[in-house]
Amino acid sequence: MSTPYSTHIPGLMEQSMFAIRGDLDGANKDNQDFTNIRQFIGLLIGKEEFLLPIEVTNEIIMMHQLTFVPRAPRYIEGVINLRGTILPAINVRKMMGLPNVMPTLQSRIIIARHDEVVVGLIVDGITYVISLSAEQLQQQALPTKGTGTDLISSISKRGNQINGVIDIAKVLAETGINYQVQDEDHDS
Amino acid sequence: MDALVKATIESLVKKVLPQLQKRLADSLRHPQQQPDDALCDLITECRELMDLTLTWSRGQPATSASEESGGELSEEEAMRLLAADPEVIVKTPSVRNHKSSSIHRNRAEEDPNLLVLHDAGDEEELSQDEARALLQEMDAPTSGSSQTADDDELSDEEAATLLREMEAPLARKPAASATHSQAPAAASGIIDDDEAARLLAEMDEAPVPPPQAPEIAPSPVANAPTHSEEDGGEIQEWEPNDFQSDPSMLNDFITNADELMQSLDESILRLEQDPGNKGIIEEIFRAAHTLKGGAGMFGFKGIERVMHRMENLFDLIRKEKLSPNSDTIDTVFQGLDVLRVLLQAVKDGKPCGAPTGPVVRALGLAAKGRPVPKKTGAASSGGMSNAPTGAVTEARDPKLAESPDAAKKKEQSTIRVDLERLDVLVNLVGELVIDRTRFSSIEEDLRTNHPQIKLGSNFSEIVQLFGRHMNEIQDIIMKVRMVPIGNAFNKFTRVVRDIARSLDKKIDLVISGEQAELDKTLVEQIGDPLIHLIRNSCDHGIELPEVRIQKDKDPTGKVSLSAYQEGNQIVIKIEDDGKGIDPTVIRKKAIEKGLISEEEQLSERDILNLIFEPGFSTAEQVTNLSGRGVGMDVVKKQIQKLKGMIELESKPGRGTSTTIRLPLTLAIVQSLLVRSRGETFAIPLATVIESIRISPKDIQRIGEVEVYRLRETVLPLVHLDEAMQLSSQEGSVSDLLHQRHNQKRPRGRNDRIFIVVVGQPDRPTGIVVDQLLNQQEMVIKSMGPLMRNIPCVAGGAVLGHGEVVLVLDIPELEAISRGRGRGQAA
Repeated sequence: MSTPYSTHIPGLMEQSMFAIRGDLDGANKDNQDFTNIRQFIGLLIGKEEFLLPIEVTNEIIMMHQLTFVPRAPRYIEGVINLRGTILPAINVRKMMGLPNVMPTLQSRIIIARHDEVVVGLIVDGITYVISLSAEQLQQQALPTKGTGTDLISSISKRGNQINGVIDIAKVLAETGINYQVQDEDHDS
Repeated sequence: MDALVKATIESLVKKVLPQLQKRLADSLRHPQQQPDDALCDLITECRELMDLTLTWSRGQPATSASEESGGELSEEEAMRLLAADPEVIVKTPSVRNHKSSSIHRNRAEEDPNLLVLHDAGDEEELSQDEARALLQEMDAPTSGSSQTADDDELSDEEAATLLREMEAPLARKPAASATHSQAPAAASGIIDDDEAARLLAEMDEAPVPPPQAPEIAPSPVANAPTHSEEDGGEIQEWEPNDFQSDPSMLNDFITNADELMQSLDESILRLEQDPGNKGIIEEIFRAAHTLKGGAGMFGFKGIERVMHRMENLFDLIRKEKLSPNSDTIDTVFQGLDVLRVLLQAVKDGKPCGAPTGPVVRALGLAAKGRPVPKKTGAASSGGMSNAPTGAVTEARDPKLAESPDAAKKKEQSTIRVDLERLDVLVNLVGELVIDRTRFSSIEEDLRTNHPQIKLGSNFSEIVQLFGRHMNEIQDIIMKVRMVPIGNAFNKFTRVVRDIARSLDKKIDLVISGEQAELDKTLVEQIGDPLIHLIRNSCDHGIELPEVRIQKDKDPTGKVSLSAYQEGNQIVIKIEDDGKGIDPTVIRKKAIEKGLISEEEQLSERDILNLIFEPGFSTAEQVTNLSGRGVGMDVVKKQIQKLKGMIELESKPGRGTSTTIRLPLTLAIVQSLLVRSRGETFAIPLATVIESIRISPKDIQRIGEVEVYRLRETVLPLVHLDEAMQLSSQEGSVSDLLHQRHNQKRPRGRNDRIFIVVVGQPDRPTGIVVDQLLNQQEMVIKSMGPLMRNIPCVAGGAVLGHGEVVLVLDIPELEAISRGRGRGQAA
């Protein structure tokens, strides 16, 4: 089953607001070497900023409706309707051990994809699209202590700012569903 | 290859060969008799064929790819000739050698009238040699003079090996070819000492390039072993070619082959009942031939080989040289089984390496009317016993069987559509159905809540019209997916026949209602559970004939399979008149397995339906057919997956009947929307019997369970909010979201509550909800791999205004009400 959505976010990159910050991060705007650049979506969980690789992101939608699913796998808040496709929505806050808060106008759902699984990630806000060079990334798993550290696969360093990069595979693993095995079951 | 040339050759071959075979057989029987005019005519025909091939091969000297098919054809011809009368060769070995070389000499001179050389007394070898020459012709398309020597050598060598094989010391060629042919000779030697077999094996091997003739190295004769008539050895299963790599053509072939196999199965069963029926045998022959041709074109040599042998067999039957008995039919079925394995390999896209040799041998023996040794080792479906008592009579309407033409006429007005495209279409229509609902709700909203807007009659009218058209489209698109359930039923005749034979029972399978239509995916998936149930009936239900006679029953057991439509459901019934199921045995077993406790009092029916519980198998001993551990629970699970229900009834000594109820289609379902604790759920209308409104004080308690007395029955109640643990919703994101939108619906215990009565009409369950909303058509969608196993939820559906509702899995909810479900464990 292939998803009809591309990983590219049309229109998003063209919007100057997102592009500027990414470019400013680079030392020299004109001579930037794009081969080593990876892009990330900056997102807010509570007050903290995390990054999510842009490749796993299909799109970002407003949080309008969410249907509660009783006895769903842990951290799955419910299902959303994305233009006729029903997708589960994962509560990243809860995964990081934070209590639920009233959704605000800034709350968003990031539609992310991993393998064949498409899910929505409920986040408290979106910051920017951030470009990082390879030197600014450090592969580092953190000891599983504190909020959400086990969802992090690497760390970004931009000047003084240090952010965790969320690994979508770990997020899915955290729900406790062996979706891949079930896929095979389904196919056979 | 030039299609015209090929067609001409083919038609000639078809016309000439059988006659020639017959003639040859005649002249064998009366060696002294002079050949008559007809035989001369035949020879002329052969010459024509020869000419044609010559001209053609001269015209297209180098197109080796196209030569191949021609080569196959004439080889086949040659082999058939040889198969027809092996004795001829045996009789006239000395002439052969001479003849074949002379032919080649003639051909080298490009004399198309080479046959004139032969006197009338030698027709046998003449035709042999002609075929052989033809073969050689194909082998060496560039039949220039330079190659003539090689050709000559080759055929000489061939002849030499043949003769050597017959222990006639005429071999002219030295050791090179002798060693070459030693191995296959040994291989084929394992068959009985049929000289022809060896000869043919030799012949097939001989043209494989000997060291002396490197020019012909890539010759198409590599295909030759395909047609080795008596050779029990193995061949290359697939021969890669261009057609094989064309997926759409391959797909056509596969679908076609499936249909042909199906029709072969059916007609062969009919043939067994009515061996004299010409129409049936013609039908079989046609199907076999088509399949063989297709397989040959795609280079599926294994299939072609087996099919070819079967075709020969059918040909004999057609010509009344052989009358089919049940052993013959068994062998044919073995062949079909092997074919099925091979076809599956084609579908899987890689050769499976299933041996074709044994079955080819068996078919060859059957064609001679000899008994087939039992240890054929073919990949047949279980060892079929030889007992002639076990014949199945297919008690179908003979009129139906005799009207294949009528069926064909109907088929012609159909087209084949890729199911995937159809699915896309169905999905789109599903979306449109949602849009329609949305449209009308907008229209209604505008009309009632905004009277200041002048809509005009046009708007309302168009919305209504749109709705009506959508209804029609939906009806039609659903019908497009419908196929008669008979497609799933027909293969059971064969299953029952095999079972009956292997168990020495006499069983009639009565099929009725095969015209009832059902969604294609359902028809495909209902097959396995049905086979299981039918096997159960045959194996455990129907008694042995002696036992039946003792019990004053007809020695022939009866299993009936029927289907009919009942409202929005299709009902499939499997009934047998066997020994039935004893509830006390089931009860004992269930207690033993810990499924129920000693003191638990269950109705007889409840006890019987315990056999659907996981881990329950009453088979005292594991037989070949059932009791393998995959029990009725699997059947039940499969049926439930199809949103169906299954029930079992039995009268000890009288028989068992299993009833399956399935929805007509899975794509679009009518649902009832209900609300509980502010959450909306959908209940498929097919499971709903009625909905009632009662006062809470009418609810009575029996122990833990709440019940309501509905007319005559006691209705166990399930509170939806408790069953679904809706209280866990407090504080969840969706709850907060509702709060933000001020949508939190007040949840008050009214003085009246709603009960939706669901389940089987005679044993309903009541679901207590806060509110009934409305009825709506919806498309049930999967919620993705992460959400596959939510208890009591069958899927999600999108409503008109974009909200997602969960569709309840009623059988599971019912199970909860009986305290045996995932709900309790979770």
